Amino acid sequence: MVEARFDELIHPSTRLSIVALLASADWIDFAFVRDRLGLSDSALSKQLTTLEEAGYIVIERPVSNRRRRVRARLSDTGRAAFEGHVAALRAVIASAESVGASDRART
Amino acid sequence: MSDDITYEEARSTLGSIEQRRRQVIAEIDMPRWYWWGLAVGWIVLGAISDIGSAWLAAAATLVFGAVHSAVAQRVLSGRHRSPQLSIRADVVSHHVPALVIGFLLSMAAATIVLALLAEADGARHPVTMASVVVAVAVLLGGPGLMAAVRRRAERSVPA
Repeated sequence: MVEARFDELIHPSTRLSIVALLASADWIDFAFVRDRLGLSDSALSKQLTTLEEAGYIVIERPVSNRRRRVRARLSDTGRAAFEGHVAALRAVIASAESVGASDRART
Repeated sequence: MSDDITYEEARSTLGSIEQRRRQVIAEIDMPRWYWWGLAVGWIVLGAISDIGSAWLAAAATLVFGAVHSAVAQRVLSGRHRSPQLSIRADVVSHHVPALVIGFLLSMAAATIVLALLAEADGARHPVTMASVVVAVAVLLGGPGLMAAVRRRAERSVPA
């Protein structure tokens, strides 16, 4: 059972999009995230640094075919924060729907 | 802070999260070269069966099986089509390898049936003919199978 916890760090849309992509993957290449979100290199780097400093993601720089790649993965802390945030959003929806249902029942 | 979030904003945010998950799910696939390699190998095996000795056909089948099992370990999960990401195992159905192997076994059975029918009809190269038909089915059916796997993964998206 995930504890619903609103997370202000990942709620801004760009950071949330990055974390949502990473949540479905073991790791993702910098270029993949940049292209899917339509961000510039510098804008993405800035957001990744913020998430890395919070301990939500881990940046890795493996070497393949003599090229240094940059890839990111969600840390356990980041995954817990993301799942808690999603649970908090679902709780908002469930709460609104239950209020709406009881309003309809009264009328 | 979550008290400040409206119902509409929460729904919209969950929608965008689902959209990002779908972008990852869209990458579930097997490399195109895998299906082309299978199709070409199928036809070569069929031709060897028709024009070579039984020993040669048996040896070629063993080599084909060994190469396939070495390659399949890497690609059969459908999680590593792109070198840009590795999809989490819990996003992809655990049944994908069994589905693909089942598909290939049904193609092998279809090859045998078609070859027997072609031979009964007096064809000069019945196994080659059957293999060409099945190779086309592999090229069309393999990607179709993976598309079905992606649709199933999308349906399981919790949002």
